[in-house]
Amino acid sequence: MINILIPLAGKNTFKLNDSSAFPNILNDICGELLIERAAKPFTELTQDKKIVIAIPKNESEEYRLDKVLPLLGEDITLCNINGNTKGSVCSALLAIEHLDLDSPLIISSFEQVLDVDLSPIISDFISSDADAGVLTFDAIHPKWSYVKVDDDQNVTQAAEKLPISRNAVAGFYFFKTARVFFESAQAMIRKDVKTNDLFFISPTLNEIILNEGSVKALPIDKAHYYHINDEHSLAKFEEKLLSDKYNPSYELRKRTEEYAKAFNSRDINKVKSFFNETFKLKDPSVSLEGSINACEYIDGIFNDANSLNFKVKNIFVTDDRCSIIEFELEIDGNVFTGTDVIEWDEKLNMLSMNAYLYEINNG
Amino acid sequence: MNKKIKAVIFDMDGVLIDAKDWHYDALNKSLAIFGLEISLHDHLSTFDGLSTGQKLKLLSKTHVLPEMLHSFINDMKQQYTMDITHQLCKPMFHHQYALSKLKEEGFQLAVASNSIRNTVKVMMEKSSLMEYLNFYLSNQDVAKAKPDPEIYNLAIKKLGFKPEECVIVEDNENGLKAARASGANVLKVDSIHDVNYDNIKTFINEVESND
Repeated sequence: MINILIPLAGKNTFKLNDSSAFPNILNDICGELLIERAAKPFTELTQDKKIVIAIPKNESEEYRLDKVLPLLGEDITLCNINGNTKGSVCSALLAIEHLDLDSPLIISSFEQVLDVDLSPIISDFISSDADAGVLTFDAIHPKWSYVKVDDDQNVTQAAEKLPISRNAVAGFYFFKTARVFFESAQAMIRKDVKTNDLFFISPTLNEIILNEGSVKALPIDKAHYYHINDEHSLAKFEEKLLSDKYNPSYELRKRTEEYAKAFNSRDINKVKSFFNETFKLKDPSVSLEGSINACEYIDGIFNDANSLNFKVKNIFVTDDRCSIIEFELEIDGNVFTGTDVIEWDEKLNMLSMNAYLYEINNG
Repeated sequence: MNKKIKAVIFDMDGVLIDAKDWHYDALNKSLAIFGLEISLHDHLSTFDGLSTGQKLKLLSKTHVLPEMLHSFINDMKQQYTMDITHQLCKPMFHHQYALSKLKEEGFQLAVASNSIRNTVKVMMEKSSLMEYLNFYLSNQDVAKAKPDPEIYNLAIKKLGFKPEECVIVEDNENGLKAARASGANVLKVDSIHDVNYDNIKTFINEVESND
């Protein structure tokens, strides 16, 4: 079980502007509320989870968030806290009794959109046995929190609103257990580590480091992280989604992402729905023609494997209906790295796929 | 034969140190971390006389305050009390004068407080009264705090006198109860301003002449 804690109690979280009687998180952006987009990477996690949203009672009732939030997905628990705490760490501590202290804890935000698949990232953090972890992106603006890392991506220092490196924290903190957070947060408050008179999450990492704990940094592409805390950033995000929507490559990218998901699910019927009847498949060992033959071959791979994990590293799309997936494929402990080059027809079904892959030798 | 007073034992809070506001401010500052506050009205009407632990329990019943955070808030309250003490605790002439004169006249002087040892130490140092004291006792020196008389019994024993040879200066109900149970002569004061040489000396003279 993984605890996911979302403190929804920032100083500006419920600030209203002239154009709306509701806070920003309830803004509709291209057909989905900001909060739906923010919650999606968490509600779609494949791991067993409990999402705790800590929110002041007054605002929760005033904006009907007590009704809205549970509709975002399963596994969501609301927790009433006090408004006006001395920062996100304090808001998080008020939810402590809703967490399983001996399970991993993720603290994140619903005032941002993390457009990445978090399941493999979380699995990485858990299997690395790190005491804590953060997602980072490239930035130098002093509004973020930053971490300094060594050559192995181990965090050596965290700082709030102070660019001590180019690794800004993307509003995502992992703790090995909720207890690790509980203890380091208290240690930090005892030391009175405040920024602008508030206690932030990032300095809790320093307490873990001082306790000889390990803190991992995992960089993500900054194009996949949107922090939305005011009208300006909201407008920018909307513009971005709109331009994606009217860009022909947008649909193709979506379709490619969906295929990768279907492949990873090992459901041959889902995979089949992406193939044109004349689909051609070429990989280092076979060259097949026709959707039926290709599916038979792929289904064989699915059935022979005890474990299979198709991890997308990157997706590129071209103007002439071609997409490229850079991936890492793990089958029964053997890891392959490779590239799929896919040609699509005008209905966005696959005409052909050339798969290039080679095995990574761990020894 | 006249009874001879040989020692004066002082309570600390409300007698030598006016720390009531400091404790109130320190608790509120530690509650503010979690978005809570005890209003002055509630403080006077509902919370007065309760220990920090009892106050927190009461708050958890009516507000959002997980019990898991109680000991942490208690620690923060101690820490903030100490900060305020360092900032605001200053020597007061009438206390220094009273204690120095009494010492000069041969009286043994001690402090017996329900506060923790370090708080007593720092407050006595910051108020420049430490040099006049034979010793001080804190709640860490006894099993039972006031209103139990243990701390006064221990102080009298340490001084090596009989209870009737001692004067205890106290201000609040629990302290007065403990002081009276010890068998010593009890001088009740209403505020730290009543704790001056003239008042103490008059009381000592009265006790000595009553016998």
